[in-house]
Amino acid sequence: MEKGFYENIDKSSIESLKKLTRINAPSSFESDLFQKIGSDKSNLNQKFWIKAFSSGFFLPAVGGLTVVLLFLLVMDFANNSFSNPFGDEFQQRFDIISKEISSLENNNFEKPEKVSHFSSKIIKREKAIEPAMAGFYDKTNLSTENKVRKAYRVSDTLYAYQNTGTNYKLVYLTIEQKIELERVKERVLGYVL
Amino acid sequence: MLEKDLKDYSDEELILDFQINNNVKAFEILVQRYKNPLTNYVFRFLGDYESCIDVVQETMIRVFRNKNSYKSVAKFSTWVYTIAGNLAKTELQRRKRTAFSVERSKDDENIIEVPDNRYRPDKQLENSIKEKEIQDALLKISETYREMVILRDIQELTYEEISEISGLPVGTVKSRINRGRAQLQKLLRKVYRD
Repeated sequence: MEKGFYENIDKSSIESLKKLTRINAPSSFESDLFQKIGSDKSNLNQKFWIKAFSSGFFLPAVGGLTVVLLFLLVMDFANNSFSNPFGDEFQQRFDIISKEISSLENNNFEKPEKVSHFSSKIIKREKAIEPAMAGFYDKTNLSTENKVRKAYRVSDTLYAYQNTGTNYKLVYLTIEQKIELERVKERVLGYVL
Repeated sequence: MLEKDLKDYSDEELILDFQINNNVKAFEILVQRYKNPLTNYVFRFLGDYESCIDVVQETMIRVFRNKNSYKSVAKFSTWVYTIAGNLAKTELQRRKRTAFSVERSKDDENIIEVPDNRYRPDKQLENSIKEKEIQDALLKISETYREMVILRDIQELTYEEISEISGLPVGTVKSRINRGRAQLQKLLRKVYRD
């Protein structure tokens, strides 16, 4: 602030402010005031609710409540059929697999051939792929020999076996399928490389 | 406590009596003491008598309702001036918003003539063109400076009291008062030349 800033103020302007006419309250000031205080006391609660509803004070809350009610109406909480596929225990699809095995065992189908005479051959093949499958979780807890011992031949490429009520399938490829698989593998590898 | 005695009591004693004994007579005396100074202060700040009376009445209602908010460490006068000042500023803000909505309606070719009632109830001011010009100039300076100038030069409060009311250091108060005076002087140059 430059020197002399305060000194530049004209004293007469300050004086004229001091000399301004005094503005007084009206004679009815007190009576009006006490009337207001009296009415304010009795209407304090009532006023709040009137103000709240007329000014839209509760509008966001009412909107939120409506949304929640609509959500509750739309959602059927009584239906507990929903299950988390990642949280639940593995469910056996008896409708798909059990029927097949049971039909095999109940002679509804052609009597499945026990694969005992293929045992040595199958065990050999199973053991050959075992290292590659080592990383996978095997639900059967059966040794390769036991799997093969319990297996039924369903078709040329499909063998079924059962352990503790659970059904499994062993799939063997035909020569044609193997050739096709090799061809696909080569194409995929050729494409990738 | 007799009414006769009450009139001799200081503001602080009266508000304490009202706080402790709920003595409405003490409050009435405070109203009598402050209604005119507050009316003058708020009128100079707003420039509108009707709004000014509403603000002063609201100030008194606040004092009545919130009597226990007053702490005896402060002067009653600074407390009541602070309430009135805050309410006056709120009124000014409300008025600005209204003015904005009127301004907007002008765009729709619906020009609303807002009547200027500022001097209607006060015939004394009408008689003095100079006073009117001073009041107009006062309303033109910024709110911050206006409040300080009114408290100092019209209400004649001390710098310390103004500092307490505004919650600002005395140095800032002095600086603002002088800036306000300078602005006012610039606006009133023509008046004084005449």
